[in-house]
Amino acid sequence: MEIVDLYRRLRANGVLGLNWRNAEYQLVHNQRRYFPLVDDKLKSKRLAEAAGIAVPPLFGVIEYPHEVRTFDAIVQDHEDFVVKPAEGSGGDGILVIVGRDGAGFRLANGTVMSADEMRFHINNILAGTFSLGGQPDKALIEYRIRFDPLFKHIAFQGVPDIRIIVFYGVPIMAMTRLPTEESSGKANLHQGAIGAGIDMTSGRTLNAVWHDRIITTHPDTGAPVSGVQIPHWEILLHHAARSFDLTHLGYQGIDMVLDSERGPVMLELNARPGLSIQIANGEGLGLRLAKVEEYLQSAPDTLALVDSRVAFTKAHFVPRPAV
Amino acid sequence: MRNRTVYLLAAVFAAAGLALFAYKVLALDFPLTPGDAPDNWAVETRVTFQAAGGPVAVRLFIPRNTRAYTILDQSFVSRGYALAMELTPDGRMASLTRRQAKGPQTVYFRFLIHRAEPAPPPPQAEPAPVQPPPWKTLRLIAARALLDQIRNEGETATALAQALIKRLAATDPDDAARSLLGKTAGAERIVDVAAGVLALGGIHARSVHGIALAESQKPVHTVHWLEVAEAGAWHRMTADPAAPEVPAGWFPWWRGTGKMAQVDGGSHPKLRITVERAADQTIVDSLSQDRAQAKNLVTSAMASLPLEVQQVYRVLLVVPLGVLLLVVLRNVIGLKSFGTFMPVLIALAFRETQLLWGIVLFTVIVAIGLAIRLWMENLRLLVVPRLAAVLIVVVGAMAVLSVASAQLGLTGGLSVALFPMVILTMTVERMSVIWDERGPRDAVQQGVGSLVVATVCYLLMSHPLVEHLFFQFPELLLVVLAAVLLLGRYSGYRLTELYRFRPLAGGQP
Repeated sequence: MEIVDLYRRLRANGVLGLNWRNAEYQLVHNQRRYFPLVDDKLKSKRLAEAAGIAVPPLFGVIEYPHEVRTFDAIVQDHEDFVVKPAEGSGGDGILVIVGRDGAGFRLANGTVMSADEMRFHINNILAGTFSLGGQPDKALIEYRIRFDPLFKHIAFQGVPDIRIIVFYGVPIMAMTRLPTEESSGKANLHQGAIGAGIDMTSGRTLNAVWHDRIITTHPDTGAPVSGVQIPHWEILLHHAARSFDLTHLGYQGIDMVLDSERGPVMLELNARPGLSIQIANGEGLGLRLAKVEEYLQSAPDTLALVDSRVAFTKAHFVPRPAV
Repeated sequence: MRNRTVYLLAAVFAAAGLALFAYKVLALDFPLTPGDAPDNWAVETRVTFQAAGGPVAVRLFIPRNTRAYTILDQSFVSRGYALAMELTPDGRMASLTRRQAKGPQTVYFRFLIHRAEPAPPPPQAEPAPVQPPPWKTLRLIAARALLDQIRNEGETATALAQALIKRLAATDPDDAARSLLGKTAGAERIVDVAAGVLALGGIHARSVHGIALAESQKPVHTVHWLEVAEAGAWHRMTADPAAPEVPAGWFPWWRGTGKMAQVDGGSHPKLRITVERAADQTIVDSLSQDRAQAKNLVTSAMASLPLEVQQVYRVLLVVPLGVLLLVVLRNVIGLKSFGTFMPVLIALAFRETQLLWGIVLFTVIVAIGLAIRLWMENLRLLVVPRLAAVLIVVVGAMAVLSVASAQLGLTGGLSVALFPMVILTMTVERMSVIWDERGPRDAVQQGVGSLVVATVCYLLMSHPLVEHLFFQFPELLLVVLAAVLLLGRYSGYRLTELYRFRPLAGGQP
């Protein structure tokens, strides 16, 4: 009966499960025809640019195998860059090149990749090795984020990102994902990255979760990970609130990073954002979503403008006192 | 609104399926379990050939009632052919003729037999004159020589027959035996020759040909034995001196040296016999015409199909249940597996390989494929050629496993041929990408997860009760459909999520 009790408690706390997210949010509030806008990172990049949201500058796109030859020309003026599949998922297939090593490329984790291996990797991307459903894909070559020095002590060899779940333009919940040595610079929680919840009103980090454990300091650097103020929080909130107008997806996640020169930069949008954000925040998404649904029913006009959505977030989503 | 439509659809489907199910069980007395099936068998003979364009005649032995077996129902499916029956000394024979036919032809002959319980005493030998075979010169001399050899080895007719069979079935028969048997001496030839030699010696003997009645998914081969008259009764023995007892399930079909089917005016004749424990209800119908009309109305759907196709549906009809289980395991329990339906397809292959062998073979092939695929990463192959290469490796590994297990005498290993190779290839490819991107732990975890799901699906799908229910009551598919629809709107937690989110269970319940 413990299981039944656990089930009831989770429901009462509004913790979203995958079935709940899919059946009540993703399938209900997201129309299929808008999916390509977020599944193809090239499309979402162009939408964001048009709306005045900064994105990593695009150096080039490789769409067909015969264009792989053009790779050298695309990167000849750039010492460092990122190669990623346009329709990749879960961070698979992304290469971060931090510098050159003769004819080869130095990766973020210190290994060197030959020009030959690079062409092979791009061909793999084009053939759909990393895309949803194995569809043929495009390879994007873009600017490498130089992350804000603030994050130096709480990120290991990678770029920490900030994810915000947005429901009809209202930022619902946020977290930052901090790479660790174990996650080899990637920001995926199940690969060993740290997830830290964020107080929506102030932009300070709350508890951090590493492998389902609550931690207060970074396992590699020892720096504190809770109570850190995320810079440019206002801008991040406004970008998130605006993202709904770009894609018309009722339920989505927006992934952003802080570049030392460009400030908040949007990396990608996600129609099926993961649920670990709840663990990082120590709180379920369900009650917050219900609150927005209530206003959408009774007073939709109050959520029509970006500013009013941000105001709504700050008014309603005060973090629960730590358990 | 959305949910209401789903609930309504599910309720309609479930109600329709259960109503038909209940009607068949309660009003028409369909048995719920396979156990109370009587000893009835449905046999189907299919003759295919290429007609040359002129007149065509197919001559086919057909069985008749014996003491042990009753033919309940028989029918031919042969469009355009005229049917005639005649009684020959070797059995009943059906002639199917057609004045003109060209191209591929198929003739079906089906019958149902009922086995009497308990087995009756051996049949009486009718006092007919012994007919010596029409052998001349060399063969006659060889047969006489054999008779001389065995004359001293026994008093009774059966003892003599056993001595004869021992010589004929020897791994290295002497010249006399060899000249009678010819180059290839199977059981059929041995019993035919033995009957001839014994007849020459004035002993009443006959060769009998039939089939073994046993549950089998594959076409059956004919079996052959010898009957020798002694003290007014027929005594039976097989062509195998090591196991002379004729098994109880051997059903006599025709006698003598003739072939079961002969085709005139056609080429490439092929004969295929399938046997199946009969759908109990259809038999009862033909025994007692009671309520037959109503029953035929609801059962005719499956029972009217050719037996071969029926056997396919025995498998196909349980697949939906396997898929339902898969949905539960993924969406309610939260297990992860490769590919949506891959575990069900693997479970289908397990039906042929048996569980233990299936798991061993699957693991070995995927391990070999994965090792080679991970090494292939160094070759920098483009994706489609690489997939093709993995497929070839998988097929090659399957062939090597089959040959190796045949050499070792492990018949279980041969069934590896039934694995779906494309599914295995995709599994290897997915697993290697996960291996590279997320590490070996994730890859192995998902691989084992798939195997667990496949095993559970297999255990459910191969249960005799499940197979019986879904074949006898295909309307249960509607109930499965209803359940899948409902699960499609299930928004509760998966069991694994309860564990994952347990830190969030604080506060008041």
